[in-house]
Amino acid sequence: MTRTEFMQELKRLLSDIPEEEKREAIEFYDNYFEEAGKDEEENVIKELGSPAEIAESIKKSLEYGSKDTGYFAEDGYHEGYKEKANLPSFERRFTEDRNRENSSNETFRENRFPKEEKKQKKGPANILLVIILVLFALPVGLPIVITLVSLLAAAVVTVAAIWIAFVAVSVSLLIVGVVIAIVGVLNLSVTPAVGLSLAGGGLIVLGVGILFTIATVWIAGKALPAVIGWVKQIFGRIFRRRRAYA
Amino acid sequence: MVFNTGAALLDAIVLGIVSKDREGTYGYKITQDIRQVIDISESTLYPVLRRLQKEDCLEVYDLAFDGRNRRYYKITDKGKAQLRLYIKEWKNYSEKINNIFVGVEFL
Repeated sequence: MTRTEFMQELKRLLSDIPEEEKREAIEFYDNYFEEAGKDEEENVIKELGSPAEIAESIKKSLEYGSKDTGYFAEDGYHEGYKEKANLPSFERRFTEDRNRENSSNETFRENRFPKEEKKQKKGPANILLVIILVLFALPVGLPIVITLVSLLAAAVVTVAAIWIAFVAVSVSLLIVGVVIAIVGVLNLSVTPAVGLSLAGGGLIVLGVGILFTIATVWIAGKALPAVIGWVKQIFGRIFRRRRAYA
Repeated sequence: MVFNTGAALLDAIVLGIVSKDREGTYGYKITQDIRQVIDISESTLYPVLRRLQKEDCLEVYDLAFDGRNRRYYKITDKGKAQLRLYIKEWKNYSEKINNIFVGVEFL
């Protein structure tokens, strides 16, 4: 049998199926011969089998969509729907447009349930493993955690102490500056030289006090929130990692 | 071949092979690729391709090649979604089967 004879026979056998299906199939097999090349023609015909076989397969597959009573496997078409029941459940979700019977919905549900049960069974064993892991990790983990928390607390306390010191220094500098300046001004009439230098010194001290006050406000407004932010970040990272492991 | 390739697995294999080519691939090549893996007759493959096309898992387009038309098959978004599910199911299934074979002793 030559390619032309093969295709003519196929066309004849497919004469009773819808025109579009026929055209598609003929085009596909024509294409197939073309791709294989002239030299392979004999081989292709041998591989393809008989036109009758191909036509039979195409006709069966056209029924396949309308009836639920057959399926295709590696070795061709099979009657019955035993195999179809094993199809993954989503097959049915995708073909919503077709009005399906309730029975298919039931298979869908049956397919889903065993999976969920298995997941629940897995739960207790996992929790037990985690508990054992935590127990074994405790001797090493606890000191590390305590050290970390202490270090963080120390950092917070240090920053707070520095800030309190700044507050004290700025407050005393302001008070001392103002007092010395006032004393200086009061002494101006008695001993002008001493009074003038006292007033000047007082103003210098007051100026330094103002600078310290600015620094204190800056620490309270920017530096402290930043440190607290870092601490939060570090803790957040530790706990996130924990959760990921659990 | 000792084991049967069922309908779902055959769909999955076809979708998998077609999806490998971003620009799509053509019937003859699909057949040759599948033949490397399973023993399949041509009379079976065409209906599978045609059905996947009708189910909007594959789309076809013609491209001029060597002075004639070559029909290309390309996977659609729906086909990709279906393939994803197939692959998930297959991994699950094959893993279980493999677990059975692990540690089997030959007497």
